[in-house]
Amino acid sequence: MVAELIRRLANSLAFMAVLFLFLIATLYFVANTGEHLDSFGRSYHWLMFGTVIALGLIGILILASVWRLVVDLQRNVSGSRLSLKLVIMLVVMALLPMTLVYSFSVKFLRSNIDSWFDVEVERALDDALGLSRDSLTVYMRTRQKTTLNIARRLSDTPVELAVVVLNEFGSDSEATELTLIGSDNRIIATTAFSDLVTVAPERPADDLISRARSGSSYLSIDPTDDGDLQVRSVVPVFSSDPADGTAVLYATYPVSRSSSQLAASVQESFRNYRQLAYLRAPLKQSSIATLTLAVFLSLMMAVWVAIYAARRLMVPVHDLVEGTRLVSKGDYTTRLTTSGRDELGYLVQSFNDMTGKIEAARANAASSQRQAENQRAYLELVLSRISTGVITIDENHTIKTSNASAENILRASPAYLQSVSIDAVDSIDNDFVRQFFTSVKPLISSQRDDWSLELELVTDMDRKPVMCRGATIQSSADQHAGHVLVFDDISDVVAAQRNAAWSEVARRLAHEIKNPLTPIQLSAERLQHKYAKKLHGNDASTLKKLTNTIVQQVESMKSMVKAFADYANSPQVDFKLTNLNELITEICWLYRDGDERDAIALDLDASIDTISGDPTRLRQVLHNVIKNAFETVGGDDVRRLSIITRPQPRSDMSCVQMVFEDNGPGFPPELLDRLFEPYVTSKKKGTGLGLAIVKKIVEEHGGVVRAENISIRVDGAPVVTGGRLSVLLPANMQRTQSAENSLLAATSASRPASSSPGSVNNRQSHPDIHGDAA
Amino acid sequence: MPNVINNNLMVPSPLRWNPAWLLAASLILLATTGNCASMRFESAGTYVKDNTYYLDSFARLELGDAPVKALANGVGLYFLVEIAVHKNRRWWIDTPVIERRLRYKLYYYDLTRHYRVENVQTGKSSNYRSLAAALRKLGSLNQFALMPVNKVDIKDSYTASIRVELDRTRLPGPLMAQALVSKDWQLESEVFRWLLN
Repeated sequence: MVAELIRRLANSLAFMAVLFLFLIATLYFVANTGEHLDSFGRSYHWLMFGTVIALGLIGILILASVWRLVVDLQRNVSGSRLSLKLVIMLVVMALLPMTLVYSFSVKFLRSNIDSWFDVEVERALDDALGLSRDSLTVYMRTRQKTTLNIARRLSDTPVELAVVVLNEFGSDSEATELTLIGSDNRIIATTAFSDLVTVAPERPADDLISRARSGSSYLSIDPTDDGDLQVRSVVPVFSSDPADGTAVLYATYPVSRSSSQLAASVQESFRNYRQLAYLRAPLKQSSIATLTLAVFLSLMMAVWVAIYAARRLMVPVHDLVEGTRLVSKGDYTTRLTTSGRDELGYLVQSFNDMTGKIEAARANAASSQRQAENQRAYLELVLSRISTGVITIDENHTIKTSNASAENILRASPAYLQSVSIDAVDSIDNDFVRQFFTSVKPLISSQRDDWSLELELVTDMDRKPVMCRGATIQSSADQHAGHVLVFDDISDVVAAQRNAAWSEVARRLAHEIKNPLTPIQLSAERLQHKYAKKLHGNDASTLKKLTNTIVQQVESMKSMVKAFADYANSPQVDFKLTNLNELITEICWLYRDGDERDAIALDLDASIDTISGDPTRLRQVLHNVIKNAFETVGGDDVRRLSIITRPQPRSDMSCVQMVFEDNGPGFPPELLDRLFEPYVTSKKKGTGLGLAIVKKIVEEHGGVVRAENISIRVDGAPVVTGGRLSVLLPANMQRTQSAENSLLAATSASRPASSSPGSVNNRQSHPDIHGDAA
Repeated sequence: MPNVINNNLMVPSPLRWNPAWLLAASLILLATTGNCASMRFESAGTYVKDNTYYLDSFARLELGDAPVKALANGVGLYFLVEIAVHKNRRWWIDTPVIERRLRYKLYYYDLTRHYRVENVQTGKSSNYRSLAAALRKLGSLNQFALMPVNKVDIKDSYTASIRVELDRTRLPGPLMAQALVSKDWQLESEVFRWLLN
């Protein structure tokens, strides 16, 4: 509290200015004391007291400031060293000239005061005074004689005539007043000759009268109240008659005004000179004390001003040091208060500008970095979402980055991929990865700017056609910085091409084969009809058998051609509001009636409303799937098929899912990927077009179909207990819909190429391995 | 031949800086004037005449060496006489009835070798051949009209007091600084009190 008060006072310019002004005023008064001797009076005590207090206070404040400076120095506060240097420099700068001036001033003061006094002057004044005295003494003696003459006359004069004598002689004697005092101390006669009329005659002191009676005259010259001089004479008046006793004559004579003034002037000069001579030592002491006080005060002011100036000057420097320290720690928000328009202020302003620019630059850099990060993240997201695999290879032939599709296509983890070195492809144990990089390595090594390659990755279980394009990456300085490989799993493309080919084949078959079949059949029937009657015995039976065979085979070929035609043809889908549950129930009813072994369990969700679809085509889907399932089970096993429908609301459209689960042997894993392709079947008979047609119809409805095996774990090993076919159909599909709105498009867009092994969806349209139920 | 300009004062001649002289002077000072510097009221009293209180007092004033020397060197000395009458109160501080201050100046008049005592307030002065006479005059008050009788209530009790001091604040500046701290210049009497009758 007290320390804080002292600190504040020491730093308060106004307070210190008041103190210093008070001391300067005091000094002024003290310095003037010698000239105006009476100017102080009783206030001198208080002045001295106040001076001591003020000096003490200033001393304490300066000591506190110095102490603070030292403490700052010990604490290594920024700017404290410079402050101390500045203070020392300023104090020394003030001290040196001050000391010089002080020493010379003391010397001059002493010699100057001494020079006021001169022996000659003193002697001259003494002489003047003596001369004045002598002159006055002569005047006094003359008047004494006059008085004695009057006294002599009075001695023979009767008392009654004393007044007459006094008047007679007194008027000639220039006396101011003549008084005759009788032996009984009573005034016998008095007369005044001056203009001033006194009421009561002045009488000399009794001792002077006594002395006069005893014969000793008294003569003196006295200063009066109005500054003039007056001669006073007391003489005895001896009477001729001894019985009368001795009277006393008291006479006063004026000294002329001019003489009085001259004498007074001499007296005053003498007195002043004497006083000055007497006060010489105290004057020197007090002057030197005043000078010392002034110098001391100046020194204190210099010290305080030095500290104050240093502090004021150091404020921006301190701020700058602190600001620089903060900046070095990474805090660029620091802004310093501009202290003024001087160079330091300019420096502070420059510092502020600098930190502002750095902060802006950092913000820009951070923003750019964020943008780059965002762009990189976006790019990564895009790369991770696209079905195309992307791999970048650095100049050391090491995989730098890879996206999810690349990892999925090559069936390798990111870590595994990044550990791969293309220069050592033989050591790669992943078949796909090894085959891929074995194929692309020569092209990478060729340093061709742009190349493409179509290859097929083959394992015992699977084969995957891949289209790969490569390019070298050039850095800004045309430095070779690696390669980028972009590759696609073109299974879909191949499948589509295959589908297209099959469609073409089917169309040609339907067109080319179907037409001759009817004449063949008719011809065979005609043969039988015409020649059966003409032949007998074995010939007849042989003919019948042969023509029957021809007819049957033609029928068979017709049905096959029909199936191909169905597959190839894309009849106009007639979308109607169809109740899927009713449709399923109706179809199943047919099978339930047909064979007791067919146990179809229906789990239909009643909440499913009508969907938009072609009931005829959907009916074919159901027939194909149910037939396929039952044909798969085969043998004496109990056939079981569960048909489940569930609504599948999606964010973009509402869908309906149909799930078919059988208890058959499931789908052979090696055919899973190509299950929906034509002529892919594991059954001995059938065209292999059943599931291909299913897929085609489902896709016409904008849906997707997916096949997978149902497996359970027995003793830790998966055992297939059946097959599952899932069909997902949009609830409100229009024939005129755009491709983008179809479930197929939506699914393929969102498909992260993460279909698990053992499952396949419609994109991988492979023929039904179970055979064709169509 | 009458004894004219009888000067009893020994005007001090400048002392030479001689150790022997200094020692002798010190001894003399100790023996003779060492304790001389004092101011003391020997008597003071009031009486009523013509419905007025009059004061008679006598103080013995003795200056020390330093003031005497200063006087001899042309320095005027100021004396302050403070007279006061207070109404005595039992349970409270006394109330001043009258306070008078008389100022006198004592100086040496070289031309006529007189000591002059000047009443600063009235300007009246008187001349004395000796310092002792001048100090006697300074110390005595005769028939000083203090106050009218009606200033006091006969039923109450009053105390009169008087004191005298050398007014150091009126000394010349260079001397004042020294006089304010020196005991040689600290000349003041104790307050002399008496009951007003």
